[in-house]
Order: sequence, then structure tokens, then C-alpha cells
Amino acid sequence: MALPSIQSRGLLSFLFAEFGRFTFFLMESVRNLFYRKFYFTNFIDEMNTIGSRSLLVLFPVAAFIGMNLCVEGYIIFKKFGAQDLVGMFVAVANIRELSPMIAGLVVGAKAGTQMAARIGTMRIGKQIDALEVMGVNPYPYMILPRILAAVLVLPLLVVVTYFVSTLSAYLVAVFQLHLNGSAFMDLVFSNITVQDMLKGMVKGSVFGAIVTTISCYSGYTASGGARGVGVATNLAVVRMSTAIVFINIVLTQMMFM
Amino acid sequence: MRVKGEIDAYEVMAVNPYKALIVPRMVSGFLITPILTLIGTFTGILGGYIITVMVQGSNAWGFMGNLFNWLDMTDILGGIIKAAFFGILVILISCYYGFHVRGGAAGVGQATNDAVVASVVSIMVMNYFLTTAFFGFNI
Repeated sequence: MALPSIQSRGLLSFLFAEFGRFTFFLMESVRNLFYRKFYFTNFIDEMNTIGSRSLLVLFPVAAFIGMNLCVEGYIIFKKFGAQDLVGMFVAVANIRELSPMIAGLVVGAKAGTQMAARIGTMRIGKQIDALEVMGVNPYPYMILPRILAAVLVLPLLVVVTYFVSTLSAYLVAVFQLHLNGSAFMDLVFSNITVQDMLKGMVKGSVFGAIVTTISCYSGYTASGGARGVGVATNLAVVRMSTAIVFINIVLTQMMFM
Repeated sequence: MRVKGEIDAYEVMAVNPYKALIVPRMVSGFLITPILTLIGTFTGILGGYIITVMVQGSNAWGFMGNLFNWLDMTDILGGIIKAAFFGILVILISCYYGFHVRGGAAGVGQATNDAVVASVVSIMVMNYFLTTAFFGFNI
């Protein structure tokens, strides 16, 4: 859908059309928050899918981000002869910025692409049309449970990310870089407040809403056979990662300045 | 291409699908990602400059002076070599998942999903070892 219409209609009109379609999708989703029926089983299912499936991917990514952060921080701080202060760098970078972004991106990469692929397959197999014909509103049935589930589950994943990445950074600091472990943890705890962690969780839930909305939208507007599903999944990844990075700047400016 | 039998058609026509489909992508990934990294480095530093100097109002000469003081060529080269590694890795993984996809439109979606997940995880894991290998010699 995307590539041929860029070529046939020009970039600007394509962007406007896409923006309008997304706004319509968003409005329809918000309006259906107050739909007469809430599909609670779907909601629980989606929470399970997003949470437990993403957790397996989140563990290695968070661990290696923490380890890498520690090594990089050590290399930079060593130039100033302040390598003992690496805990401060790790704590602030990890808990304020990276953990919510990692959780958002991992959920996007794992659960988001799956949503885009699944909804895209349903769109191409005309199953969404079949739902509408049967009088089932697809928004409260498929879209809303996913968005709400991500909003609820993401903060918990962010907490897991805090723990895993700080722990792995600690292990690297002690066993690879031979720093003092208790001094490291002292620096982590003295530079991070509970409010920072809560703000990170709020960030995470905003990212969850963005990621799921964008991937559901990309799947919902897919067209063009098997190739269309691939294009929709690809577009979902590109759009959601760009959106997360942009929104992160805005949220950081709002929360920490 | 796998789902529609186009790769089988390549083989029937005695065209090696690895040579025709995988190798060009790997070579271009190897060559293009370092250039993209340079652009990314430049844009990132520019963004940092705009925020620190223009928005927060710190000293422009201090920013640029410190930048060139503490950054040396090995940092940039290390980043470029890392990027070339990542380029090959990501394209190899994605091509693998695409090459062995089965099961129609749903299978294509599943393969794209698996490719994204495997790429993200392997980049993160690889990044740590490459960082230690390039910059961690004299720790």
C-alpha cells in the first residue's frame, strides 16, 4: 500500500493522507473506549502476550545494555581519572532514559510487530470485514484490548528493566572493571530518587500506548497480499521507533527540566 | 518471494538464489551502514550542539573545544567498524528468516517479527563484546 501510493501520488499528499488516516484511527479508538461491551478475555490474553512473551527478549537486551553502558562510562570517566564515579552515569542514563526506551522498543519489536502481522493478516484475509458483517465492532474487539494491555503492562516491564540492567552493570563493574561494588551501589542510590523511577514508569506506559497504536494502525491499513503483511510489519517498526525517540525528547523535557 | 515460489523458480532457471538475493544485500549492508553511522554521528553531535548551546545557552567554543579534545580518530573508526559488523549481522539474520519462511501471508508476518527480535537481541549482545574488544584493551 505504502510504496506504490508514494510513487503515484507524490510524497506530500501521501503524508497528508497517512496523517489523516492515523488521526481517524486514533479518534475511533478513543471513541470506542466507551463502547457498550468490553472484551475482558481479549484484554487478559493480550496482557499475557505482551508481558510474558516480551520478557524473554527483554532480559538479554536489558542486561547487555547495562553491561555496555558500564564499559562505555568507564572508558569516558577514565580520561578524567574519575572511573569510580561510573555508578552515577549508569544510574542516571539507565533509569531516566534508557530503561523506558528499551522496554518500549522491545515490546515494539516483539509484541508490536506481532500485532501488525496478525492484524494485517486478518485484514488481507478479509477477516476484519467478516467481523464487521457479523456486527462485531473491530475496535473494541481487537485494537483497544491491545492498547490498554500495553499501557498497564509496560510500567512493570520498565521495573524489570531497571533491575536487570542495573544488576548487570554492577556485575560488570565488579568482575570486569574491578571497581568497588558497594561504592558503585552507593552512587546509584544517591543519584536516583523514587520519583525518577515513577517518572520512568509513566514514560514506559506512554511508549506502550504509542507502540501498540502505531502497530495496530499499520496492520489495520495493510493491503496487497503476503507482501503487504511484510510491508505493514516493516512500516510498524520504522514508525514506532521514530515516534518513541521523538516522544522521549518531549517527555524528558517535561519531566526532568 | 519464498511464499510465491519465486525462489524455487530461480533454482529451476539454474540461478543460484544465494548469489542473486543474499550476497548483494550483505555486501551493500556492509558498505552502507558505516556511511549511515557517519551521518548519524554528525547529526547526533549537531543535535547535542543545538540543545546545549542554543537552548540551554552554554558556551559554543567550550562545547566544540571539548568535543575535539576528547574525541579521537579511534572512537570514530571503532564506531564505523562496529556498524559494518552490525550491517552484516542484521542482513544475514533477516535474509535467513525470509529465506526459510513458510505458510502464506501469516508466515511472512511471523518471519518479519522473528527477524526484528533476533536482530535487536544480537545487536545488543554483539555491541557489548565489540566495545570491550575495541576500546577495552587498556582497562
